[in-house]
Amino acid sequence: MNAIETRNLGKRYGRTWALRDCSLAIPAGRVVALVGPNGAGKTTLLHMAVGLTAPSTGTISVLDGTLPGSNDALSRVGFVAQDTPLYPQLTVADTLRLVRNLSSRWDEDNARARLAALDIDLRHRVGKLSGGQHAQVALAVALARHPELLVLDEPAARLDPLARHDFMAALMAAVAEDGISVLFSSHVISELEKVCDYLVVLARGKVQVVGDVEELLDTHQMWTGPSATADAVTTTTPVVSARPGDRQTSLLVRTNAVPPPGWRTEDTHLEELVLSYLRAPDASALPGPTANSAAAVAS
Amino acid sequence: MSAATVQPRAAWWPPELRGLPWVTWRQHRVALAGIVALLGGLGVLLLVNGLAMHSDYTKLGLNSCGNVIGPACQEPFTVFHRRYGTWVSYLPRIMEFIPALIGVFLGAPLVARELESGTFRFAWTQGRSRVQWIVTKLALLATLVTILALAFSFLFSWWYQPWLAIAGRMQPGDAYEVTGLVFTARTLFGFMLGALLGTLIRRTVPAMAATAAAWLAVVWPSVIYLRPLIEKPITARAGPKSDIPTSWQVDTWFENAAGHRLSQSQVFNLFTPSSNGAEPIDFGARLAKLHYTDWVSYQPASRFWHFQTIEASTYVVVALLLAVGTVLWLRRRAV
Repeated sequence: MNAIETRNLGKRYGRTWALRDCSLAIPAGRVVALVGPNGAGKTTLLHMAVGLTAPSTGTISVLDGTLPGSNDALSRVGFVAQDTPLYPQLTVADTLRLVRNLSSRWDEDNARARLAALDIDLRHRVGKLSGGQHAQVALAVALARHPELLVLDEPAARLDPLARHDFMAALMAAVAEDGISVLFSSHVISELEKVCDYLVVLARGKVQVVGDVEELLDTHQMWTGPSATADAVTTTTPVVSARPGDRQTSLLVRTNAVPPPGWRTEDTHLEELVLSYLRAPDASALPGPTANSAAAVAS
Repeated sequence: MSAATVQPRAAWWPPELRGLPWVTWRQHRVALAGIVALLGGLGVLLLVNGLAMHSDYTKLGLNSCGNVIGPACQEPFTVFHRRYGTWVSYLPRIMEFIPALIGVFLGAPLVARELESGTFRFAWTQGRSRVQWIVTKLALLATLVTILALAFSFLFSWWYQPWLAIAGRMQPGDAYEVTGLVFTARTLFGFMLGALLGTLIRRTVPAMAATAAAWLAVVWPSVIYLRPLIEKPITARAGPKSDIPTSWQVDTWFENAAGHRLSQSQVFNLFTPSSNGAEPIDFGARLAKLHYTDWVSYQPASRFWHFQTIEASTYVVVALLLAVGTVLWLRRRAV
C-alpha cells in the first residue's frame, strides 16, 4: 500500500512551475521527511496531497488510490498546515467542538487526554496560547481524528527548541502508538535522522532524492583523499558533491564500492547527505522503474 | 465517537446544532448578533414612533375627515406632517442602505477572512469538503438574513401605513426601497455579492469596501435607469387626479396648442410676473389664454406590486448566480 502516489504531478502558478514532473510512490507506515530549500515546491506538494490545491498536470492519490479532497480522503487524512492555523478567537474547547462537527471521525477523549497531559486549559482562547501550545493543540486535534495519513507542513518551524522537541516527541509517540503514515516538510535537517525513516528532497520544483533513509545511508559514503587524484575518482564514481581543499578533498559518493588506494571512507549521516544534495541541485538519487532498493545502487 | 465525558441530557430547547450548521452558527454568531441588534434597535424605534404616529393619526381625525390631502383634512394634516414629516422623509432614506451593510459585514468576511488568515487550510481539511462548507454557510446565513430582512420590512410597512394615502410608496429612494420585497431581495443580493467579492479579493477589509461600492454601483443605476423600463408611465393631463399624489411622477411638461413641448425659455416666460408685477398671476387663466396644456407622466401606486415583484425577483436571481459563482470558484480554484 502506498500512502502517497504521484505521477508526473505538476503545479503551475501563472508562468512559474511550483512543482513539475513529480513521480513518487511513498509506502504507507513510514515517517517521511520532505526537505528542500524555500520555494522548492514542498507546500504545493503537501497542499495537493490534502486536496487544497488541484494539480495542473499529472495525478496524485493518497492511501491507495483515493482522490485528495474527496470526502473519503478528507476523513482519512489529517493535515497540520504551516504556522498551524486555528481560529484565535475560539477557546480550546470550542476548537475541539469545531473539529468534532467538521469531522466524521473524532475521538474526544483522545484529544482531551492529550491536552490534559500538556496542561493546556480548555477554557483558554487559542489566540492567547504560546506558540508551542498552539502547535500542540493543532497536533492534538489532528491526531484525535485518527488519520491514516498525517501531513504536516513545517509544523515546528516557528517553535523554540524546547517546544520543537516536545512537539516532535508528541508526534513520534503518536506514530509509535497508532502506526500512522506521516509526511512532513521541514527546514530543520539536523533533527531528521531521529524522526524520519524515509526521505524526499525537492529542489527547484523537482524531486531530487527519494528513498528509505537506511538505504540512502548505506549507499552513500564520504571519501577523503588527495586532491591530486580527485578528478580521476570523479570520472569513475558517481559523486554527489565535493568539498575540495588544497591537499585533501572530500567527496560524497553514491556507491558501495571500496575507495581507490590513498582514499579513506567514512559513513555519512543524513544531515550531511541532505546538505550535499541541496548544494548540488543537479545531482539526484531517484528510484529506478522497479524497486526502490535498486535505485540508489544502480547507475 | 466516544462518549466518556458525561454530557447532560440535551434539553428539547434550544435544539442542538450539529455538523456544519453548528460551525456556521459558532463562526458567525457575532456578525448575526450585530445585525439583529441593528435591526432590533431600528425596529424598536419604528415600533415606538409608529404607535404614537398611528394613534395621533386617529386622534387628529385624519381617518375620518375624508380625503387626507383634501381641504377638509388640511388643518389636522398640517399638525400631523409637522410632527412626523421629518421621520418619514429621513428614515427610509437611511434604512434603504441596510442591505449593503449586511453584505459588507456578513457576506464579505465569510470567505475572505479564512483566506486572509490562512484558516481555510484548517477548515477545509477536517473531513467536510469546502463545497459542503460553503454551500451550508451560504444557505443557512442567506435564510437567516432573508427572515430578518423580511421581518424588518414588514415592520416598516406597518409603520408607514398612515402615509400610504398621503405620499404613497412608489417614489424611488423612499419607502419603496424598504417596503414590499425589494428590501429583502437586495439584502440577499448584498450578502451573496459580499461572499463572492470576498472569495475573489481574499482580503477582508478591501472586500468589505468593494462590496459597499459594488452594491451601490448596481442598486443606484438600476433605480435610475432600469426601474423605469418595467412599465411605460401613464401620461395624463395634470390636475387634481386622484392617483397622482401617491404615484411616482416621472415627468411634467407643458404643450402648446399644436401638441409640441414648450422649450425651457417658454416655460420660464410662463412663470414671469406680468409687467406691472403687482397683480398675482392667475396661472390657469394664463395657460388657457395661450392655449397651453400641462402634462404629467407617472407610475401609479397600483403598479407597486408589479414593480416590486419584477425588481425583487431579478435581485434574487442575481443573488443565486453570485452564490453559484462563489461555490464554483471555490471548488475549482487552487488556493
